[in-house]
Amino acid sequence: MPIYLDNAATTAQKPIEVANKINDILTSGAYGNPSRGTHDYALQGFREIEEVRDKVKGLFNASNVYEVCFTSGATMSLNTTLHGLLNSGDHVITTAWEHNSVLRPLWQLEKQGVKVSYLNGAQLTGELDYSKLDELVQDNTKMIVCTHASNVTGNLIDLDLIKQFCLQHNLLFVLDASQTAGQWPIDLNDEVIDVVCFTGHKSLYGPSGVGGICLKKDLDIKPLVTGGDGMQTFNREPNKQLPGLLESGTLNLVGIAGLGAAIDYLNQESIEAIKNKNKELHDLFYQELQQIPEITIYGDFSQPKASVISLNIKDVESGLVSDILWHNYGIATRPGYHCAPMIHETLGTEQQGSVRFSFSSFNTKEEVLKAISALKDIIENEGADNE
Amino acid sequence: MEYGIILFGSTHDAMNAEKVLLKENKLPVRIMPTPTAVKATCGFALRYELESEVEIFKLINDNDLVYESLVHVKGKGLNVTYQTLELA
Repeated sequence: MPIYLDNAATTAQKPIEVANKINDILTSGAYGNPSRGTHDYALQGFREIEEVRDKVKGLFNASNVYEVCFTSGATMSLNTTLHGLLNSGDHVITTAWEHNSVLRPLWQLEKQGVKVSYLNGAQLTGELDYSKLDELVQDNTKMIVCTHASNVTGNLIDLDLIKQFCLQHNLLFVLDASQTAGQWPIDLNDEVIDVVCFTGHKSLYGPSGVGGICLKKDLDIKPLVTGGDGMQTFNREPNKQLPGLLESGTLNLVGIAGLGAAIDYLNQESIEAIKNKNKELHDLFYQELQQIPEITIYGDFSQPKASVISLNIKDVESGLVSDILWHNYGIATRPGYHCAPMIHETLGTEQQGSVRFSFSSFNTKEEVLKAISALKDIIENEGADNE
Repeated sequence: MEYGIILFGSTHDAMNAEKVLLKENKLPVRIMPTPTAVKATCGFALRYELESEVEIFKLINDNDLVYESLVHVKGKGLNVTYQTLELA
């Protein structure tokens, strides 16, 4: 059996309840287009979506100050949020850990007069130098946007520190929870984070094609996409109210319902238990890796981490190692740059990339140990020590 | 050991070439990560056996497949060197 260790890209193994729910929606013939009509078909679809909206609010412990809007995933959520909140003349602070789904919208916005500053990290560990935040803030700084956890090192941002900084300087705080939602608690109870962007298909265990934005209702946000809302047909301006403002077009009912079933599963298993299971797998892998001198491991292991570990074998390019792992051992990993250019520049892996292993609670200790044994075998038999 | 790899500008082009060469013409090619030593990208490359090279390039031309460049890979396991071919 092949072993799937690319869960930071998407989780391949899903709870059966997710598939059952999607099957029910598609085979029942009972779900119409939400918000398009008042017959039972449409209303059943509408009610399903509203139920999942409440489940997402529950997941993030979000009060009535927040609304949840569904999107196609974190990339759409981040694009909508950044383009919708930032205007020419605004300044935004982000970090070297970001994925291109944050960086590329920001670089687009730079061309429209938005200024961007970066909190940089240290070589090998990627550790951010938070003491530099004070130097980055300007009179026109409007927002900090950052990932909750690096998709390359797995390290978590110091959320409390960024929250305090945002409060102190009256900044919007946009959090990219792509790598953490579902495997790490995210609590909006103190109402400091303004926006959480999330995707359904990674550690939330939902299907691909669904994600969302959990945002404060009082934000002045422009929609990225406009169109039908099923209500104010003759109004040339889009519906100003959330969630409709950010949900033009027919929603992905099947995906949203699947996400709802995934959240039920997470609640049943408990996010804390999933986090602990992932940590066990991560820690076992790390502990074994440390015994292999040919391997360089990236990240700051003294700090909290999502279940992601990036490494290299000596100076061998990462694609070759990942290809051998898959082709000879049936172990799926992700080499290269993981759509996160700045962290690779920071780590010093802009030439080599890195081989990323990422675990989910569906992985086992046996699989982790097989990955270790494959790495040792590759080093011994594929020539890493006679370069 | 020596084999060839074809580099592409997009993962879509690589998958399309794989469909033509592997699925439709049963040639022993397979998708692999583009070596970062050749190009700093996370793209897909198509690995092929050198004895099929002439046939592969006839099919590439006949089917108007889009690709970027060709690389010959020499060596074994983790010890390989890359030679980018100059195309006429």
